[in-house]
Amino acid sequence: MGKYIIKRILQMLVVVILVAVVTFFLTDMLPSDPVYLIGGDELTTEEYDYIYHQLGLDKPLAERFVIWARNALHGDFGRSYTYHKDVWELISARIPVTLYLSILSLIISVPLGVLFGMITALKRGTKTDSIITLLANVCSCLPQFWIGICLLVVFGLKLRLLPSVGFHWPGEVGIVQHIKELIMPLICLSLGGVASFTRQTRSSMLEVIRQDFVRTAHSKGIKERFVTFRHIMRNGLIPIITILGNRLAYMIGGSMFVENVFSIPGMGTLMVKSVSCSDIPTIQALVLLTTMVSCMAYLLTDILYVIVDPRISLTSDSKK
Amino acid sequence: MSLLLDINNIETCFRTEDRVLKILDGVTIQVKKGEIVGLVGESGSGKSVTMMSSIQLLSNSGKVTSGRVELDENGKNILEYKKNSDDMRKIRGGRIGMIFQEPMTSLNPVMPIGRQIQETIMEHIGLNKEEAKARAIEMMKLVNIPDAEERYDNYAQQFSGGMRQRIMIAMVLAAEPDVLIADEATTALDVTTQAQLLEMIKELSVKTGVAVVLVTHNLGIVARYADRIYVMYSGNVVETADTLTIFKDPQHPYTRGLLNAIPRLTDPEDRVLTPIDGLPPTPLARPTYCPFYERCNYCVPDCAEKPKPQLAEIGQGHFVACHLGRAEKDEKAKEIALKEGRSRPEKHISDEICLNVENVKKSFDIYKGLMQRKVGSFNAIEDISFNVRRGETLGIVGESGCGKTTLARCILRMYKPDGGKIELFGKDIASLGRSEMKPFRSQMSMVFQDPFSSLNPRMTAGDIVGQPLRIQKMTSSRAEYEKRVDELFRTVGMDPNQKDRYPHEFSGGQRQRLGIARALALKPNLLILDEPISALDVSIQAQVINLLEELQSSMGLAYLFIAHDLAVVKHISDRILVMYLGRVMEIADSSELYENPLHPYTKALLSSVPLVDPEKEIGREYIPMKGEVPSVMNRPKGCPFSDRCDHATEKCRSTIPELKDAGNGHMVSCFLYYER
Repeated sequence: MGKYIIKRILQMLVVVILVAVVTFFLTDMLPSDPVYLIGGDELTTEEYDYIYHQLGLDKPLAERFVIWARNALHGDFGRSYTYHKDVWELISARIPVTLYLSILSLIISVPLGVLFGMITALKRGTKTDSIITLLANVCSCLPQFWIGICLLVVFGLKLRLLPSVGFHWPGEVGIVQHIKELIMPLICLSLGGVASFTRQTRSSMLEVIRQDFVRTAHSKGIKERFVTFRHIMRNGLIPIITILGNRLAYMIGGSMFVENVFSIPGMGTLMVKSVSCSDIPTIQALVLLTTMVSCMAYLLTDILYVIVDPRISLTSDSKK
Repeated sequence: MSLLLDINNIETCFRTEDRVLKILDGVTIQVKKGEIVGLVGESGSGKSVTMMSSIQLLSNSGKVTSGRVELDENGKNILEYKKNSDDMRKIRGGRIGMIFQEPMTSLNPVMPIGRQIQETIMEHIGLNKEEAKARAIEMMKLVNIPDAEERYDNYAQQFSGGMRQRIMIAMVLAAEPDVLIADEATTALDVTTQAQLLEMIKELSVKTGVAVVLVTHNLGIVARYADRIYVMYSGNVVETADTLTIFKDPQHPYTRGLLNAIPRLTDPEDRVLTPIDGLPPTPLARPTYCPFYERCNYCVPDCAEKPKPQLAEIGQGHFVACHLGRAEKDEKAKEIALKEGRSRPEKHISDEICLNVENVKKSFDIYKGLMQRKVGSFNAIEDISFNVRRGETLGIVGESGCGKTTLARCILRMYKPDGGKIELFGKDIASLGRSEMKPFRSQMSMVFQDPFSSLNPRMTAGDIVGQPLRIQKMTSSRAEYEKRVDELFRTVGMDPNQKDRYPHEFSGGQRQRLGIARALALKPNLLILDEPISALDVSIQAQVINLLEELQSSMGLAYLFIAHDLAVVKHISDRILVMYLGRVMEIADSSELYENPLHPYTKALLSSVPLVDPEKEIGREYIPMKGEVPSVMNRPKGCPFSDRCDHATEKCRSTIPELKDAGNGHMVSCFLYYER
């Protein structure tokens, strides 16, 4: 197991390095000139040359990459062109917000989705099944920003029940206001999650119910709930972990729409802003961070697989 | 003895999308304390459904619509209990346990096997966790699982098929049931493992007094192990009696048909198999009269007028569902014998060697890791030598994993052997390249095991049969091609008008005929038949065997007949080659091999095969084999069989015996017969 994790971490490192290289070279090819972005459009030649030199743009590309990578290893991603701030400072203020929202939304969507999925699978063919499955299918295709805008119009603008924009920690505005601010973004973030967990749980449970070992479990005369939880659920969990991993990996990208619709100062808004302003150091840092989050999520998924399904670790053992 | 399980006239229906299928049409089965009951019939006859109905284990679409199931003659119909009620659960699993066919999928893959046994004990015996664990380990020892304590926490996939089936038995018997239902429990296993398991079940039945219901299509198994037999056909029991009576005095035409259709180890050489023509009716098309009427060669027109015959007692405990009396049937039997009077097609074995194989060897590399580095290799087959003459059938038998199929693929040159000679009419093809090989391709072809997956489902039957002709450009015009395809259809006894149908529209037997027609398309001299009938029902098997024999006689084909069913191999082969772990153990004429087997492995293998004759089974010696077939990757250094052989000496363990003539062309590779 330990060997397996170390191997996976090494593989992750390779991915991160590759992504860093590719991002660096691709952003360099962007048509916009960072010097004008920093100094404005009306620069004298001397001023231009000065900034050009300051940014190190007169050095060869490869050398600039080495310098950037060395600094990045020390946590220095350079200064943002648009915010005129240290990039790391910028990002570190926003990570907790995005993380907080994403994790809350997972805490909501996993249990609810699995519960609905179990209900529909065990009551397959009944009215309850049809209704929940239909709703899940509809919800999983609704785009987040559309749900966000609808909620905003109804609860924020028409009914004026909830604040339509902003995000503050409970310390700043009090717990009640904090929860009010959270409701709409969380619904928006979790609806799709609940729907896809429901769908996945249903189909993987139905798949397992047909298996021979479930018939064996029934033939043993053990209680129905043991058959469901010990035999069906444990096997049905495996595909659910895949979805969980995907959602974790998609955390930063996924919060983009919601944060923009509700003007939440998280990673998603920062990403959109930095791309639209060609804020190259910020883009580079964010891409790297997103890659690392994805890699961590997949590592976590693989570890969970091994825990839930002994077959996986066994096959990797037997090859040794 | 007192009645234990009484299944009385049950009818079971399955709901599909648009209709209701009546699978069981009134089945009555009784099981007494401690006896072994055999339930035989072909696939789809309702054997498993009967047993699953009795313990309410049907899927949600199945329902018992009428009839009673009683335990202990207490007058309580257990079908009245709700499926998952406490009362029903106490019976299902507690009093009646069931083991299933697929040992690979019947155990939960993510729960340690010990826990699965423990679970049953805690449910039905009411022990606490620790006690149940101790008891589970005891049960594992009872079914001879080595290192039970250590293996308690292992998962199902760490065990072989035979071991998994032992675990299933331990799990079921742990609840101390009164009835054990074994639903084709040994069908997927090799003969030696099958014999080990059934012997064990029999012993346990004697030791613990548990009654056993053996559900199987294998008449040999019931002949050897059952006390009483029920024969099922199309959702009905057609005949029941004690085992001796069923085999000595079968009264239902279907029972007689089955017994005439199967080859036996004890058959004389000129025995002709009589297949049962046609197919059983589907549940939808089941007539109101006798369901066997259409396939019955005893029937009189009157049979179609009368309603379905009911079981009637004609002797002590001997019930038959047939309108005809004994005298009528005996009369008819004489008539049939006269009319049939068939003899086996003549053999024309010439001296010309069609295929000569010398010291053929094939190894496979083992790759590992991200870069797929080669980390080792193992020899799948080693030093294989034999020959086949024109018009001759050489049977190749051996358990799964012994290299039969690898050998076939080497001969067909789908694999390139690593050494040795493969001579086709004197020309060595072992190392020919792809294009050099092409002219030889038409001289040999193969018929595959699975008639369902070996035909392309998107091609019409005509295209499938004609494909080799197109590839080898054997016909010059469209008309000639069509004519040849029609001819091939007729050769295998099929109607050329069915050319435009797709494989799924044919039955298993017809599909296998198509496979044979395809193999014959290029007029080959050598046909390699890789388990060609093992996926077919007994009555259909005989049709295909007879067809193969006729084709051989008329076309002078040489056959390489690969199979694990020894009785079939004995029936069809002139000579037999016995393989074990990639090496040849013995080659001999088929009657010589069965009458006078020399190699200890052959002896054990033969004694594992149940004879379809309970009288001959009495007092027959069963040679139990130690352990299980090891993987070819850890083949013993000397004789491959040395670690399981009772006669093994130091020499056997260190040196590989050569294949030598022990007289009369009986080749054996065993030190017992030379250098002693």
